[in-house]
Amino acid sequence: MEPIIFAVVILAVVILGLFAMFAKFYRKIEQGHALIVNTLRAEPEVTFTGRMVYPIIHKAELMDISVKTIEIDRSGNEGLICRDNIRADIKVKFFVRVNKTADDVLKVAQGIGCARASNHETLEELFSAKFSEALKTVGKSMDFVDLYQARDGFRDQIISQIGNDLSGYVLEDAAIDYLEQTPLSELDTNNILDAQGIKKITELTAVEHVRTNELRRNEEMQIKKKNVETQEALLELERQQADATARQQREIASVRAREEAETAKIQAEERTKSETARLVSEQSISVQQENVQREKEVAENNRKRAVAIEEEKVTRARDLEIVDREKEVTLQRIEKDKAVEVQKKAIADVIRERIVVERTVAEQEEAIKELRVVAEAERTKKSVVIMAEGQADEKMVIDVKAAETQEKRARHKAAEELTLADAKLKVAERDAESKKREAEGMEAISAAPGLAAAKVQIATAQAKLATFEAEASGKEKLGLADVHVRQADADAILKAGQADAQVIEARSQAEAAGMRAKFDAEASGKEKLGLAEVNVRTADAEATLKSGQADAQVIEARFSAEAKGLAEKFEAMKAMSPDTRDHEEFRMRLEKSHIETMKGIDAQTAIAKEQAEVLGTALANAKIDIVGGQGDYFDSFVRSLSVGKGIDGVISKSNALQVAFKDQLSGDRDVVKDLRDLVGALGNSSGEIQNISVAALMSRITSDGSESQKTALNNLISTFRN
Amino acid sequence: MGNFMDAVVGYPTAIYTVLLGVVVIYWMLAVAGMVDIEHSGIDVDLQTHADGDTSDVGQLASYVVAFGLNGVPFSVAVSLLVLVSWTLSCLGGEWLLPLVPTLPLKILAGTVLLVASAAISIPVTAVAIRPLRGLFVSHTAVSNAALVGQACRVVTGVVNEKDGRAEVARRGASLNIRVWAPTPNTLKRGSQALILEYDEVAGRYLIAAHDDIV
Repeated sequence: MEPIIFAVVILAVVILGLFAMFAKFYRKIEQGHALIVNTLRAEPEVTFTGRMVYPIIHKAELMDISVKTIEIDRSGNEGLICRDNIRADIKVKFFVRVNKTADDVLKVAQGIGCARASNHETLEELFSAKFSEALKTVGKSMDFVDLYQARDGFRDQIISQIGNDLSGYVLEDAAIDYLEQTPLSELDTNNILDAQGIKKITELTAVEHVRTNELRRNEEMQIKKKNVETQEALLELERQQADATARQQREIASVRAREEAETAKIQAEERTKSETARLVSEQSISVQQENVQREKEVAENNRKRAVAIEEEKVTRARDLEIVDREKEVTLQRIEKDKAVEVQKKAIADVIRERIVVERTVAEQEEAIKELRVVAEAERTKKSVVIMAEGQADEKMVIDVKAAETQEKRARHKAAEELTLADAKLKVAERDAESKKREAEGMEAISAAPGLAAAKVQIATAQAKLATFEAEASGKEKLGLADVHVRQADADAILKAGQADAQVIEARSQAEAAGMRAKFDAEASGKEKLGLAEVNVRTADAEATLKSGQADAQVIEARFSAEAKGLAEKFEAMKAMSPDTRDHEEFRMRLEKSHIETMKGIDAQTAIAKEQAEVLGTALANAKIDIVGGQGDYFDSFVRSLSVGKGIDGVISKSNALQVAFKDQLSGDRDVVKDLRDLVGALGNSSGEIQNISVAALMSRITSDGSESQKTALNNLISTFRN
Repeated sequence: MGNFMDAVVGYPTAIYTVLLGVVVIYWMLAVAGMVDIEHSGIDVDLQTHADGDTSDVGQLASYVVAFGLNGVPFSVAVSLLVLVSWTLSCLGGEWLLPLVPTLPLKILAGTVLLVASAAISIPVTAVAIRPLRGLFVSHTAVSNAALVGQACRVVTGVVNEKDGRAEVARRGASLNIRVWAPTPNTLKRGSQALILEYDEVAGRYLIAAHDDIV
């Protein structure tokens, strides 16, 4: 039994001893470390977990096998030179570690030593040179830009360059921590490589700077542009807003105003309606009143007119009778005057001859005197003129006023004189008529001695000279007055004419009919008169034949006396200076023309009388051209007269013509009408002569006249045609 | 007890007793940290006969392995053998030898016991060692040559005769190894390859693309 006990004890002791040993000598290690135990063997043992390490017999070393970083920093003028000679500031971290194999760990442990391998500084010291060399070598084989782009290649090259002689360490990785081109300021311009690098950098960066600047400016430009656009858009929106608000306000205002206006308008319309109704009623009432008034007045006026017309008719009949009576009386008086005048003229002729001689003497004397007087007068004139001008100016004002008053007075007087002139005109007309007849008679008498008759006529004309001269001047004045009066009258007549247009139309038609009847009556009357006169003339002719034979001797004696007188006169005239003769001739011409003028005036009065009716209507809108005392009208009139006389003479002398115009002479046919037809065919009838002046008047009436006037004119023309 | 002491100091147990004494002392020293229990006297012997007589060591090692005494430090196995042998011989000397008459017979019987106890101790020890083996496992690092046959991943751009590196995946940190391959190859970064052989001088491995082999 003892041995077992003993053995168990020993076993227990051994086991205890074992535990004690484990507790004391077993060494466990942390991860990332290797335990190298130098045992009694040839090779030391490597463990990464742990093992028994006995003191004295064993030597245990701990080595750090975790990854180590070795940083290589090359910057500034130490920078890495690339293949394109650009320096790069580069910071590379190399990661080195020890493989977990016994061989590698032992290699490191033996090559470097566990303590140094675990110390970072010593490691760096150990490897930096090697790594730097590798870096330089690899860097010089690559372009700067490739360092960035081909990092894998860069790393592989570094690794392969460093190779495998890292004393058991393995290069796990190389990380390029920092890679940047070295700033130019760090470069040494005197260094060959640096100088080339600077050149290249400058080349590249210049282009890039330009491009960058361009982009930056573009950016600024676009930003600015966008800002401006935004601002514009904002302003536009603000404007639209303002626009909208303004429009809204305006619309509100306009709507309000429209409504107010509508209200006002409706009110006004209503008021207008009521007012209108009232006014219409008033109007109709007053219109009715006025109508009543008018009707009353019209009736009254009609009555008055009828009365006035009747009165006028009576007056006219009476006046006509009076005129007829006066005509007869005057004719007889003229006859008497004529005889007296013939004798007076004989005396006057003798006197005139004498006076002519005297006058020439007197004229010479007067010429001398005149020179003197004229010279003196010239002197005085100048002084007087200046004074007179002053006075004239002074007087002018007074005179103007006076003239105005006189004008009024003259106008009244003219009216008065007009009536007088009219009366005288009629007298003269009858006179002319009587003379015409007389002349005809005389011509009939003195068919053979036509010269004698002419002389007689000249004598009678000269006898009338005084009368006519007086009358002419009177009539000239009258004519002028007449013009004014007629203008005034025209205005009056215009109004009156318009008012009385219808009246006149009716009246003119009535009168036209009346005249036609009257003319017919007159024609027949004249026919009878003509017949009577023919008989008278035949009797007269015979009487005058005898008295003419008796007178012939008287006339012969007178003519011889006259011839003597004339001879003497011509002698005297010869004795006259050419100036005096000219003057005399002028005077004679003047007398002739004066006579002609008087004849013209006579003709005009006849025509004027005939035209009076037409003028009454025409003057409503006619500008009247007063036919003067001289001109074509007068000439043609005289021509027509002479033609008429010639015809009369020829007929009375020629038997053939007597036979030819038997009917006319016997009164079966109207000589005047035949003549008018005949001469009208030649384009020179008395009617044509009238038409020459009347034509203008008629054309004016047809163009400007009222309907009533046209019809009146047509009626008138138709009466002339008949 | 007298018998026991007689047996302890008597033939054959005395031999074992001495040995046991040595073992006890050894363990005492071991507890004191003066002895490497794992590298017992064999190593010492080996060391002493490092001249080349390694065959003995091999012989011994082969025997050790054959008897199933491996897996624990040699000192532990020897100590157990000695202890078991001593116990057995001591028991035999106390109980069996007094039964043997005469001295020569006694010596003969004693020798038989010595051998027998030693013989018996071996299997007993082997049995006893088996649970202890786990205690004495030592994880030493792998050697480079051990990587041959394993798969690796290329980590450089190219692999050629001159250079190339690959990683062998381990459970922890991978191993970064230097590799090479005959040039016309398909190897590139990241491609899988097999390690074919280890050139110890250059410290690099020959690899071939995984697809080429398979």
